[in-house]
Amino acid sequence: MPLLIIYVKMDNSDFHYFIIFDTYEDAMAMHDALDKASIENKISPAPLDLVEGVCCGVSLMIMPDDKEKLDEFLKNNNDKNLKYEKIVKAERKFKPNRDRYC
Amino acid sequence: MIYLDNAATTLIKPDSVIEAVVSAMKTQGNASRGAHGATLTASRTVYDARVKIAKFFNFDKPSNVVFTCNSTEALNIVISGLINDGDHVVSTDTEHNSVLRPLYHLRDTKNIDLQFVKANEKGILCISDFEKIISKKTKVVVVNHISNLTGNVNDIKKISDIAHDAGAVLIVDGSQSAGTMNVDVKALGIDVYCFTGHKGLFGPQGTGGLLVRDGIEIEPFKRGGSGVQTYNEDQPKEYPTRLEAGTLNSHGIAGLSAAIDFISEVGVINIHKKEVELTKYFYDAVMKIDGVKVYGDFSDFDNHAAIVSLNVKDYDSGEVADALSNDYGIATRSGAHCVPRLHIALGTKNQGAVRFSFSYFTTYEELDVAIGALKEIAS
Repeated sequence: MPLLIIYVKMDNSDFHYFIIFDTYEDAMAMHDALDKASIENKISPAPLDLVEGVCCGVSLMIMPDDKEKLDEFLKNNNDKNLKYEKIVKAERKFKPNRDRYC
Repeated sequence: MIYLDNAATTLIKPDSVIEAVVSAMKTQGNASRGAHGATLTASRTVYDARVKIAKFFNFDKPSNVVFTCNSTEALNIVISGLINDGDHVVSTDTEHNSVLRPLYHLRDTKNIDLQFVKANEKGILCISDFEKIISKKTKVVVVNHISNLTGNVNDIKKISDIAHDAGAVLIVDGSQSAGTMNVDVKALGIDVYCFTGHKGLFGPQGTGGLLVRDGIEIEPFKRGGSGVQTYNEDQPKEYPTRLEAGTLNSHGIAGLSAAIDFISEVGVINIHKKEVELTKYFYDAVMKIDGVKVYGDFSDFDNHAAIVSLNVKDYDSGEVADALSNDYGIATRSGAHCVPRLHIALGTKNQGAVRFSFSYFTTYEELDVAIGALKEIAS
């Protein structure tokens, strides 16, 4: 049986960036495009306190290390179907490395 | 049973379609409602389906692929959402009630100026009649791509040119063309294309949609939960959310997506070619039977759907269909086929017609049984 090794990037950052969208479809299109461009991103609930609730229910979470690559990608993007509302920076409110018992 | 009622719904579906629905029912949460695994599985399915459908119809905006539960719903959405009080609207004698009834309703409630292009005794629409009726005052033209009764294919490109020269929006009812022939919405100049999943596309019932060209603003038909912009008091204005309030049929859409994969793999050109051959085989045989009258324009089989509607002598079409079903196990569709104006044009209001409609999965052996049955009934 082949051994499957999954590499999970350790995420100890104090904050993340979130790309905010008007529609779920825009988020999915951007997710696919970023995956293709090898820019790590994760579909994640939108941080409502930062977008005042007026946004798509999901966002794409980007780690600080990848922000520069993201900016470069968006600057050079010519695909009219790739749309986003804005990018917000959100601090983490709870400890990623908290003790877990369940 | 020999199933020759594919213009109503295709009965034989690819196994991959059935498997996709079953798998979706076991794994999919609510699409566009959050970011956990089950919802993302559903969202991925729905999003991929939009992309595939856009590509399938050569439509360049996946986010303007709006899912509905069938063509009727798609047509109701666009007709009620685009036509306003007093607008001049042009449609045709060949339309299905899914177009006619919403238009009649607007005529009676919004006082729209409704005009119809007449069909001749073969169910053909003359392009010159569109030129005569469509004018600068015309807001919307609604026409079907293929008649569900005669199988005649309308020249959408020419109708589109006439409509656009007048500044009108062209809505096309693609119920019978989606999946049965190559449909390039861009080349045909279609502004809004309405389709259903359960006929030529081999998808499940309860699936369908509309492709809305950028810049066409359709007023929402329904308002409600969207999973996005929760604190916005109005329905979000962006497509597809604008027209998709409520939980989508993501289980059905999974099946539709698999169906598009199947058709793309076989090739819609090959499907059309096989259906043309079946139609020609059946038509040539039934035309030789004394007492059988066939309706429609069969001058160019390559430009005709896999539909042959006929009558036997002066027999009631229902009686013939019943005999075909009870005595031979052949499923056809009799009666008026929801196309009242076309039956009047063909002179078959009282008799109706027996419609035979084929699919990629129909066999010549099945056609031979049907031809033999018609010979016996007509004898």
